[in-house]
Amino acid sequence: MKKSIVVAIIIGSAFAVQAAFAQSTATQSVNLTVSTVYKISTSGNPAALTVTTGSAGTDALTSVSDNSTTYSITQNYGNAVKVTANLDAALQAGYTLTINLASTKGTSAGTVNISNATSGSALSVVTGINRGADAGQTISYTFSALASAGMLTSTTRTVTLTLTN
Amino acid sequence: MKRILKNITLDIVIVIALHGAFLPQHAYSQQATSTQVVTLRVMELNKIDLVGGPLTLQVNSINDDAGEPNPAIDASTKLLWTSNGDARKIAVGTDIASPRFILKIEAEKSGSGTGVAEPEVTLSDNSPHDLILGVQRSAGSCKLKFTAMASVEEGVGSESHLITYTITGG
Repeated sequence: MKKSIVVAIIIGSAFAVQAAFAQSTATQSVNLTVSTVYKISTSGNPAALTVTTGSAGTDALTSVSDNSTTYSITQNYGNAVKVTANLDAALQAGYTLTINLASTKGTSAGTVNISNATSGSALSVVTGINRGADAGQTISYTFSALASAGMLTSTTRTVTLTLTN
Repeated sequence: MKRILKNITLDIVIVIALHGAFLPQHAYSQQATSTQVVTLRVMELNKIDLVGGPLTLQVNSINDDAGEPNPAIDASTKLLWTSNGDARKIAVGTDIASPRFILKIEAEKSGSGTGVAEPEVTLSDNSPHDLILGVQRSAGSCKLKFTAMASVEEGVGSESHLITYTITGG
């Protein structure tokens, strides 16, 4: 009886070993590609910037500001990306438009006078932007005028923010 | 000849293709843009202000030759203005319709800005009188010279004027 059990175990083990060596495999190559992502967007247009007051005896009128809009960027391209700003047309002498972009991924250039910055002379407003996303950063505009420049009827300018390397 | 030219062209195409393939990714210029429309406006603005005052003019001496009181003069007040309009003027007036004593005012235009001072104005009634003309897109200033006069016949007394300066379209 004891002998029969031992034989059975040996036979069983032999089959088990055969089953263990009878595996097969299949492989797949998975190619992963991350393309360059380079995005910038703005939250809309700022409110109208209207100069309405000043001080007697001072040519520079009281400036007005708007910080109601934001910009967002996403880029996986590099760590030295920047944002530039320019107008579609320069402002007349005596009127000044400045822009200030906040940034956590890069270094804000602070308040930049873009009154004469057109497409050929865009100015850096944020530099050294690292890979990643920077969402909802404040855009501040300030408009100022000299009394000697006279009145200005409602005038529009298109501000282009460019994310570039 | 044609075949050689074709081969050269093919070689150039291959070289360009290879060059492009081996260029590092960061060698390409990347750009993305977003735009905003900014609306700008400057309203018409006329501001006027004074530095100095209130002031007191006291006629208290007699000119021995003429036998009449000497006028009292004060030039300590400064008038300031700012306008971004064209052809503005500054007028001056008193609130007293029939002043008892004579009060004159003159803009001493030694300050900055555009504008031409009118000759000395006598505030003989409560209507506005031109003080400075031709104010044009500028910030300016001038000193104001007040002269109070009285005759012996008018006796002793006092009078308070509220002087109003107005900058308007001229």
